[in-house]
Order: sequence, then C-alpha cells, then structure tokens
Amino acid sequence: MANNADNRNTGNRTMELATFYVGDSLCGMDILKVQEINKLLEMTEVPLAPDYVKGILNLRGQIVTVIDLGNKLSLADTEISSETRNIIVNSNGEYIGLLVHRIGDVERTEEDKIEPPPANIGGIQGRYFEGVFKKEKSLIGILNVEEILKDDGSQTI
Amino acid sequence: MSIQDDETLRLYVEESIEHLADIENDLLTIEKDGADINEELVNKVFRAAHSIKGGAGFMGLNNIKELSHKMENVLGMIREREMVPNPEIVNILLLASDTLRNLLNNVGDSNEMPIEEHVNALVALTAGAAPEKKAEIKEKNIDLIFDNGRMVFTVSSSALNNSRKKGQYIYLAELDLVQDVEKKGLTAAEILKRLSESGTILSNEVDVQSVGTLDKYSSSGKVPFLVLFGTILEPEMINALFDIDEENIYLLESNNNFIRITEYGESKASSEVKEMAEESPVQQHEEKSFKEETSSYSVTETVSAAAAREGDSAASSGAKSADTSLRVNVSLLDSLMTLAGELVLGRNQLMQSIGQKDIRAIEGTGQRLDLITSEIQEAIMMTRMQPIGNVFNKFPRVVRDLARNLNKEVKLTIEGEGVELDKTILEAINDPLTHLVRNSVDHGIELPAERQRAGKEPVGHVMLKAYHEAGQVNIEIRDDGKGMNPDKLAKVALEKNIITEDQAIAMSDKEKINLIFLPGFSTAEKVSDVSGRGVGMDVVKTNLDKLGGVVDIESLMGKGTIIKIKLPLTLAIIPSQLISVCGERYAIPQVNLEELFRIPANQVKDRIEKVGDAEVVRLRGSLLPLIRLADIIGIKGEFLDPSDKIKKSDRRASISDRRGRKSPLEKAKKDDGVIRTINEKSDEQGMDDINDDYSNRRKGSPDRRYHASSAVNIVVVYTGALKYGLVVDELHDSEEIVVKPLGRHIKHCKAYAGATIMGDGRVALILDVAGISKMARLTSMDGTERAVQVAKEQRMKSQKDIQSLLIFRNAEDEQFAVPLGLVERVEKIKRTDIEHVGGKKVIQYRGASLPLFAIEQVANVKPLADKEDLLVIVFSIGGRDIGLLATPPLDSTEEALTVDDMTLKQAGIMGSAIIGNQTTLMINIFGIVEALNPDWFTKKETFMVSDNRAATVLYAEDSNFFRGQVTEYLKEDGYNVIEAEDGRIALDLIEKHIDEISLVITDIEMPNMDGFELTSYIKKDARFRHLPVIALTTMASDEDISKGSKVGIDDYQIKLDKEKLMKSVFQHLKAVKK
Repeated sequence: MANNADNRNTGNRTMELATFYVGDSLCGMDILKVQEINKLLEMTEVPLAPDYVKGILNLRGQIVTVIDLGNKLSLADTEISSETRNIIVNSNGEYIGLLVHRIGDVERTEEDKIEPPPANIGGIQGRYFEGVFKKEKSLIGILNVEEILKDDGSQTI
Repeated sequence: MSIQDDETLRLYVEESIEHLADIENDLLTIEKDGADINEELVNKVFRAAHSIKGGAGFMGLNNIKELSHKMENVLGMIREREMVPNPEIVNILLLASDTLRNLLNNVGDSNEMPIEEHVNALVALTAGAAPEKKAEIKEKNIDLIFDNGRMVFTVSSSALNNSRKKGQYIYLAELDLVQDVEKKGLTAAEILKRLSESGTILSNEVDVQSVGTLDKYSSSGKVPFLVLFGTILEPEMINALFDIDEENIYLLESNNNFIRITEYGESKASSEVKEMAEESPVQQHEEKSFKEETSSYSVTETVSAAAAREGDSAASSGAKSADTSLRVNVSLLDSLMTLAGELVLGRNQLMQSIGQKDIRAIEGTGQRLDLITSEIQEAIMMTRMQPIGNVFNKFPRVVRDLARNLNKEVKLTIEGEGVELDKTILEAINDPLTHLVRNSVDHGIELPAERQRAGKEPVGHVMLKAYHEAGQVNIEIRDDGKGMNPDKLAKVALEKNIITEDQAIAMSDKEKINLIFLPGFSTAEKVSDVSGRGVGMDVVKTNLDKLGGVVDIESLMGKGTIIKIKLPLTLAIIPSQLISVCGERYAIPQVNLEELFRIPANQVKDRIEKVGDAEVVRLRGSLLPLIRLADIIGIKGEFLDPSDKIKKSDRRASISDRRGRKSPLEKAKKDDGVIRTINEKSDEQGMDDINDDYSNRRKGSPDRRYHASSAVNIVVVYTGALKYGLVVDELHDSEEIVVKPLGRHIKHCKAYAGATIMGDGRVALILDVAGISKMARLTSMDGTERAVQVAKEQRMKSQKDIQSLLIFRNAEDEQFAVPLGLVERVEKIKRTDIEHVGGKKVIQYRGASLPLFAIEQVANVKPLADKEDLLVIVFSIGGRDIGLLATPPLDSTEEALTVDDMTLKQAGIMGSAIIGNQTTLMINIFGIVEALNPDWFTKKETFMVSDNRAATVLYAEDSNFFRGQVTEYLKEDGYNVIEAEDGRIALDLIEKHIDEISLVITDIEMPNMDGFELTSYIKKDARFRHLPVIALTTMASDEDISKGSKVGIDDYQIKLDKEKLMKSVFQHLKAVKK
C-alpha cells in the first residue's frame, strides 16, 4: 500500500496493469503486485470457510488460500473453465490466490490517467477499487487488493 | 553510546542473561542456607555479578554496570560474613537481578532506565551492614564518587590501601579522548601504557553518560576518559605525566573525596581533619530511612515486580521471538554435517542411477535417502530441543515470592528438569505452567494454621515433575493442598449458567472438577493479587490444546490436586492419521487419536444408538458419543443417483436411523419420494441400500450388498477429558506430516488446526479435534462418564457376555477367531521372511527368533492360503512368545457369543460360532501350543486338599460354552469342578457342598444373581467367608475391579486365559491353606 501511495505522489509515472475478467467486468491491478499467474486449480475445498474461499492449494510448499473474486465482489461465482486462472498475490506475507474468469492483456497507462472510482462499477462496490482507467472502448476497474483481502471476520463459525 | 559492535553486544547480553538465570536460583539457595553460608555458591553468584559488571563497563552500559556492581558489593559482604543473607536482603538482590535482566533485555535503552530504587536499596544494605562490623576493610570494594555521582569508580579497597601504603598519591585525571588524546596523535592504550610505567592504574572509564546527556560536553565534542591512577609523583608534578589542563586532575583525599589539584595547596592544611574517613561516607544517601523502609518495601514491591515481570515476559516473548538465538551442541552440528554429506552422496547416486536407468539402484538409493532424511529430520529436531528445566527453573522464585505474599509456607520440588522439549513448545507452555503453579500455591495450599488444623505439615508441598511417556512429555503439577470441591464447582457453574441443573445432577465428580476449564469460570472467592488477572483455566486449556497438549485434573478434597499435562515433543512434524470424507482427505494428529474401529454393516444397528440427542456407539461396554465429520464441517454430501438421476441426500439425519426404525424423519423422506424406500425392506438391507448408493457412485458396480464400504468407520479421538468417535468415510494410512499454517481467511474455522501437503502434492486439512467437539457442542458433560453408566445398565439388561474376538483366516474360505484378550500383537510379514531352521518355522522379531506355527499343524483344517502377505498373531504363553500364521482380512468384533462346542470341535479348535454370517472356528490356542510344544508347560501343579484328593472348585457361569471350556481347563489340571448356571444356583450348591469346595470362580454377568451379588453373599456369610472368589470377565475395566473388590472379589481373570487363571487358582488355594 505504501508503495502505491508513493506511486500516486510521483505523479506521471507509467504503470502496467494486469487485467482480467471477473464475470464480465474487466478489472486490473498493478502488475508489480502480482507474484505469478498460474493454472493451478487442484484445490482442496475448505468446508466451513467463508463462501468466497474457493479452497487451498499447494504452491511449491506454501499453502495458498484461493479466493473467488467473483464471489467476493458479489458477482456470480467463478466457474472453472479452461480459461480460469489463479493470480497469486502476496499480501502481508501470505500468499493468496485470486481466482479470475480469464486473463486479459497487460495495459500500460500513466498514473494521472487513473480516475477515482465511482460508487459502483458494474455491480461491484466502489470500495473495492482504487480507481478506474478509461480506454477508448472499455473501462478497467483497478482493484484495491488489500481491501478485498481484508478479512472481515464474518462467517466465523 | 559507544557500543562496540552488535555481535559483541549480543554475546554479552546472552551470556549475562545466562548468568542471571543461575543467580536467581542460587540466591534462593543462599536464602535457605541463611547464616550457614555456602561460600562456593556465594562466590559463584559474586563472580556472575562481577562478569556482568565487567562486560558492562567495557560496553559503556553504565546502568547495568552500576546495578551489578552494587549487587556485587552486597554479595561481597555476604561472602565475608559481614552480612547474614536474610529474606529481606535476598529479596532486594532478587529484585535487583530482575531489573538487571530487564536492562539486559533492553540493552539499547538501559542507560535511560531508572535503577535508583534498586541501587539505593542495595546501598542501604551495604551502608547499614558496614558499621556493625566496624569496617573491616579486607577484600571490600569502595565506591569513589566523582563530581556528585557523575562517575562512580569501584576499586577494591585493598588495592587502594596498597597504593596508599606505598606512599602513592591517588589521582583522577579527566582526559578528553578528542582533545587530549586523538589530537596529539595518541591512543588511550598508549596513554595507559605510559601511565603504568610510572604508577598503578586503579581504574579507567570512558564517561559515556556525560557525552550523551550533558550539553556542555556534547557541544564541545568532548569524550571524557577518566583514569584513576596511583603514583608517587607529587601533585605539583603530576601534570608532567598527563599534560592536560590542571583543572581536570583531581586528587583523592584520604577521606575518599576528590579535590582538584589546583585546590590542593589550600586544602592541605585544613584537610588534617580527616577523622570522618573511618565512617567511610562513600555514599551520601540517607541510610537510616532506608533501613526502616526495607521491610515494607519488599512486600509491596514483590507484587508490582511480579506483575511487571509478567508484562515483560509477555512483551519480550512477542517481540524477541523473531531473532532469538539458540545454543547447539557441536557434536550435533557435526553429525548434521555428516548427514548433509550423506545426502549429497545419495543425490549423486540417484542422479547416476537415473542416468543409467538402473531401477534396482534407484530403489536402493531411494531407501538410503529415506533413511538419511529421517535421520536429518531427527537431528534437526534435536537442535530445537531444550531442557524443560529452562522453564521449571523460574518456579522456585515464583513460588517463593507468591508464598511470601500470601503468608504461606510452600516447598517446591522439581523433578525431571532434563526432559527435553521443542523450543516453541517450551516457550508456549511457560504461561500456562506459571498459571497452574500459581493456582496451586494460591488456591491449593492452605495457610499454615489451616494446614495444622487439618493435621498436615504446616509447610505445603508443590511438586513439578516432567517425564517421558509414550512419545509424549508429561508434566505433573501436584500439590497437597485442600483440593477442589466438586459440588462447590458445580454450584458455581450453575449460578453462572454454564450448566443446567439436570447436567449438574448427572455429572460425576471428575466432570465437575473439569468444569473449571470452561470459559467464564473462576472459583476464587475474592480476587487476590494472584488470581483475578484475567487468565482463567480456560485460557490455560486453550493454550495447551493449541499445542496438541492434553490437560487433566485429579483432585481429592483435603488431600490435594494433581494436574497432568501431556505434550507432544515437537510441533513442526507430527504423526497423523489420514481419513477421508466425501472424497476429501483430512489428517487427525496422532496425539488425539485413541483408536480406529469399524462397525461392520450388519452390526450397525446393534452398536449405534441414540442417548438423548446424542448418537453413541457401544465400545467395549461404554458409550462413546459420535460426531459425523461430514455434518460438522457441513459437507452436504449430495450426489446423483445413477439410476434415476435424482439428487439425493447422501446420509440419513442420524446414523441410528440405519437401524431401520420407522422414524418420522424417514417417513417424511419417503413421502417426498427423494429417498428410495427403506422401510419396505428388512432393516439391514434398507440401511445397506443407502450405503450402496454411495458406494455405487464411487465404485460403479451395481449391487454390492455387504460391501466393506457399508461399514461405519469411526476414529476415536480424545481431547482433554473428552473422548468421542468421529464418523468418517474412509480410513487411510498414518503418516508424518509437516504442519503448515492456514491463511487468515480460514483461520476462523475452529475445525482445522492447519494444513499439510500430501505426497501427491495436494493439500489436506488437519482437523482440530478440540475445535470439532466444541462445534458439535459436545462438552465433557454429556456423553463420556454418564454414558458409561448408561452402558452399564444396558449391559446388565442384556445379561450377555460380550466377547472381543480377533477374526482372521487361514485358508481363504475358513474363518477363525481367537479371544482378543490373549493376543499380544499382530504383525504383517512377507512369506519370504519366514526362515526354516531346525525343522521349525521362525521369523526374526525384535532381535529374537519367534517360533511360528499354523493351525493345520494341529487341527484338521485347510492349509494356509498361498499368499505373499501374511499375518503373525503373537501370543504369549508360558512366558514365551509364539506366532500363529494367518492370512488377512483381519478384523475384530465384539459378539455375544453362542458357541457350539460340539459340532466342529477338534484338537486345537474349541468350537464354532456364527460371526458375520459365517461359521467361524474358535481357536484353542493353549491346546495348539500344548500339542506342539508339550514341554512349554511346566508340570501342572494341582493343589491337593489331602494326599490323594484334589481341590474342588465351584464354577458359576451362564454361558455353556465358557462353562464347558473353563471346566475342561480345570479338570485337565486335576481339579474337581462343580458347575452352576447362575449365581443363585451357585449359592445353593455352596450351601450343599461347603465341605468340599475350596474356591469359587464366577462370571460377573449372569441371570438371577450376578457375580457381584454372589460374592457379597459369600463374603457376608461366616460359613463361606474363607472361600477365595475369582471373577472371570471378558474385559475387566477399572470400575468393575473397584466394584468387585468392594464386595470382596479376590482376583480378576480374563476368560480363556487358561494359564493365568490356573496360576491364580493355585495361588489362592495355597493362600487359603496357610
């Protein structure tokens, strides 16, 4: 997050966005936050876990919690297909996988072209976004990964 | 701050803390010794304080230096017997050592931390004690205070006196390391060397404090370097040596005050008044007031210091844990090194063999690597192992402080300090243990007067004991205090609405005592300094649970309390049992595992039932609450029925429904048309049907009635005092797993303790047995002990003998059974393991040869199946082991046996029974062994009543089979036997034949009159009282034994264990004769 704040301050910095589809919405995140993107889908289900936790998997000896972005952002659950990918991010020293519908291109943009998010993008709450980036034809919502991964402590059993 | 470098500092701190750890216990011993000083010990503490001081001086840690120095002074006085170490003095020393530890733990800030309190207290001690002995200055140290306490020099008074005797003047020169040394191109060392050529250097210091604190120095960039120097040079000439501003040279007067040499001339005349020197006004503190204060000081301070210490340890354990270091034995490191070498070698071999595609070589290397890996694992574990003494050693202090505080007298005994535990566990048990020990002293041990009234020693006794048992570490905290009052505990729990009245009534004493582990329970009537710190026993329990530990309490009113803790040796890699539910694997830590068992499909309805809301299973005469894992973790277990494509619920609402009772629930399901009709079929079939749906889905075969998957697999686990059965789909192997933590999104789930990675790379969750029981709201109240009672009633009602049997095969289609109680072990072997030596078959087993035999050697049965994998059932007969060859499948069952001892009886076969719809031959193991090795049985000793008449035994038993069998044993040994079918008949027979009968053997469960009743009649009647009574049971539980001994049963023997029974009969008869 600190890193991100710095980026904003420095103003006109070029940044690369890893884009992906959550349901039909095109979302993106700073590519520097992405550890890797893989097709590891051999997950172990975790009964009793919050709905958005799709399961856990073994990433070279590390246990990775996989979160279904679709579910977490209150869209439809991500259906596993041949295009489904797992975006591994490192959040507070813990590896977390974000399950996305499919992967899009890497978009280059300048920081100052990113606008603050509206209250709601395609049914997703605004608080999950850091900003939006408008392309000619489409709109990329830049996800606030930390906010998404914030453990709300709900569904405690 | 002139801290040299981090490494040196770290080493110093580590070493000092080690010294301190010793100091604490030694001080306590010194206190105990009182005036009778153990000089060696005092010296040891003195040296420890001294080395802390020495290092601190070197590092510029002034506070540490000062405090340790003051301690050293006091210790010096103790050593010189100028002071008697009473509890007050030791208390002050202990508090000072606490502060010292605190300073060392926060070395960076140590110079800013307040220490005056302790320094003053210590100084007051030295000052207070000194006049008593009229200042016999022998090896004493003297503090020279310079510039109103800016610097304190500590020099031994003898050195000082020596210098003076030689007619030396003693100077203090304040050199500036910058101006006076560096700018002149010199070093401090050179100056010291030069000085030592013309005198004696008594002490030298860098005044770090003033650099940091006094503006005038820091602004001028001065680093004062002070040298205390004895020389014969006169004050007028001294500066020739130092070559600095004369203002900065001081002379030590005979009254130990410093004056500037510039003032020397004037003061020379007046300073003749030097009488005060005798009083050694080394310190300018108000000694008197302090002496008075010490007593109150010690009491109030203990509490706050104890509290502070707790805070510290909590804080430091949190903050420090990141980069603590560990001392490892060099030889261990060496062996690790060797192993690493082996590993590399192994890898090379493997690469080579893979390159050559040499499968056999790969296999060999694989085995080697396996071996090396486990050795490395073990060695690495060893490096983490620390003696539990590290934790135990703080308790003498804790107990002492607490006892003083509470006006109690408590003796603490520690045993097994050498027992080693993983470092992480050791750290984690610190707090729970402290709490438990405090509890023992605070709540357990009574006040001395109270103890005397109760007829006990006034000094209470708390014992801490650690020992290994079954791969676990056991810790016991035992006190001889007042114990716990179960009823009072229950009352409190009732008041706090933790339990209901019904529960309270049904609870056993043990369950009531275990109530204290429930959250929200604290029995302290008043909040003392000690209790009421917000940490309850529930926290203790939770913490121990987290470690995979188990805690159990035994308490006897008025006698004391024993708290037993069982801990695993290490946390990182744990042995565990793998199971699966709905196709997903889970691991259950072996520490929680008691046993695994499966209920064959045809027994489900007999064994699983409902008691209240809980489903329970009958297991060896007790009821075990059941939890279905699938339910508790909310796996819906829905599946598509292959025949009609309707989604069905995998399982019924409760397992007991399998029994086919027409419960409303099932009816409802039937009406829905969701579940295929159960009730139309016979009970068992209905049940199997459902299971078959399930197994069909997985196995894809159409009709598999009585397939193994219809059986119910139960994992019996325990956590604390609670034991329950977890119903799972499948049981797998046990495996050593590496525990990995779960991410933050899953941490909330109480059902899991972590995750692990399986051999195939997939992740499996590790179940938290305690968490699951909580989720099922299975508390120690319902179930367990209460269930035992229920079970007993049940058992009484059935009045049938349940016999545990081990079932196996010899030929593939012949089933055999042998009483489980006679079996020592079962081993899996390969046929190739069998050696034929001297005409006999043996295998190597635990370093010895185990003789083997097959049933067909004696009995006329089909020969052993020609299989590669064999079983060896090991029996111990006549004090020797013998192995019976058998073939799988192996099973065990509990049956109310109806044995036919006529039809199929032959040599080595005592009879037959129907087990699992199959005729099963019951092995007479004694018969077989006797036929094979007649010499194994020592010459039979029959007890003769007179020269030619053997003793007569009355045997009461309702089962024809057992009666026949045991009667046969007895007759074989030459006894006369009178048989009775139940207790009442037995009693009549005793009346009739009292002159003949010398001993009674009785079954426990019999119609009309059971064994307990029979015995109590016999023992009540003066005519029969002399008869020894031996009870025969299938499984003697402790409860039965205690009940039996109450009514007067002399001995318990297991049915069909011929040898022991005969021995017991003989011994009892012999005893009666005497």
